[in-house]
Amino acid sequence: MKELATLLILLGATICAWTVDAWLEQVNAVTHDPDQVKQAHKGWDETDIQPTIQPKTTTSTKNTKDTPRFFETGEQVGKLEIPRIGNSYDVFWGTDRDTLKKGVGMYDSKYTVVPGQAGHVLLAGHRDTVFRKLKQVKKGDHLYVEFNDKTYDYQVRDIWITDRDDRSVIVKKQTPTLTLSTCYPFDYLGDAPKRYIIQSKLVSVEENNK
Amino acid sequence: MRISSQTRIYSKEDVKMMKKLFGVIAGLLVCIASVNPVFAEDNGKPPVEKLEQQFNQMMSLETTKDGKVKKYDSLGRLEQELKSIMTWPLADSYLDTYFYEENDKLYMEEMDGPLRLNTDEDYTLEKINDGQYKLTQQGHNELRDDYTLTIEYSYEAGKWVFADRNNQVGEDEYDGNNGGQLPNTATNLPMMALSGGALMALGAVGLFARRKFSTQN
Repeated sequence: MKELATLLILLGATICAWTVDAWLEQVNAVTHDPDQVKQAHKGWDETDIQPTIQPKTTTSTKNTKDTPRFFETGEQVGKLEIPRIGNSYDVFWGTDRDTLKKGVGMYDSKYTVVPGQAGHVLLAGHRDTVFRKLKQVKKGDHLYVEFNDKTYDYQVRDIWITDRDDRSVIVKKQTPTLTLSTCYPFDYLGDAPKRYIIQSKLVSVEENNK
Repeated sequence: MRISSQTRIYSKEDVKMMKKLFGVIAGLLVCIASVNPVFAEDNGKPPVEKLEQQFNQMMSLETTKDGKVKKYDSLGRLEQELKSIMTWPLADSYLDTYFYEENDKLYMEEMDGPLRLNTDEDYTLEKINDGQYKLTQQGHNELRDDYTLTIEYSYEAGKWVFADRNNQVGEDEYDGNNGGQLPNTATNLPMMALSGGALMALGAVGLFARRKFSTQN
């Protein structure tokens, strides 16, 4: 009896320790530094809707030198910064389970492209770790993606909640669009039935070395 | 009466001649149709300039300062117009990209419009089949540098319409409900933490019960 009870406590403690470790790993993919993030992006608080721009490419071919697609799943490909939350996130290639454990994942599909191309970029993250403050983002806010030595400034145009099986979100777009996706409700235990969607349009691009 | 008898005489000859003539013409038509059935289905070429003019009118709608479209008050109204010159997938795609409705008003997105055909410059019009043509034009502007404009036309319900422009619809058949699966962003961490806590609690209860049981004995 004593041995069994001790075993249960040890097993429970191991599971708790593993959970805390995994949670910390995911939380560490986020840097919370509001001052630095806000300072880095002038005009982050200008929420009046700005015109959408097109990047200087017309094709959606991904396998080019300028728009590399030859990433390994799980490889870090860029950064996402959201001044409204004061967070900076590492972005990894892919949205499989293992990649999302690292942080924010960039969706790889025939419907999506990488920043710099006229198309649809989708980033996903766990609601209870990296994207748990995403509900603070409002329409008109700016999302900055560092990718391939450039910073892409997207402005939020729409926020909505949809079913997890909704196949109308990840579709081809002609205009440069960034969509963030996470589970909803934010405080749900287990597989959440909904998805929280933030959709934004490209409003400016800056070279990082300037 | 005279006229009538003359008419009857000529009518007999006419009927004979006409019968022969109709027979020959009908035979010829049957022959041509059976040898070359495409001839009967030839839809001609798409009216490139006329369609482009209509397209330009619909994509250059007059708006107020805040982007409200003056001519149409809903996406539905504009959709009807667009579908008169293009297939529904393309119309839906343009509506989704360039327009939105707010407070029962139609607004145009503040963004650069779609590539237009420069009818003063050279372009190639290639026949894919009797019901499809493809236009290609090379161009250059500040925004896009060197670009290639492609326009696909299809013959639908007795007239030529746009089927696609610069892959606005894409190679895949457009289906608003046939996109990618949203990633699973749920973690099992909260459930794992609860399970771990429950096991520890169970173990603790076991130890407590054992101690109480042994104290009583």
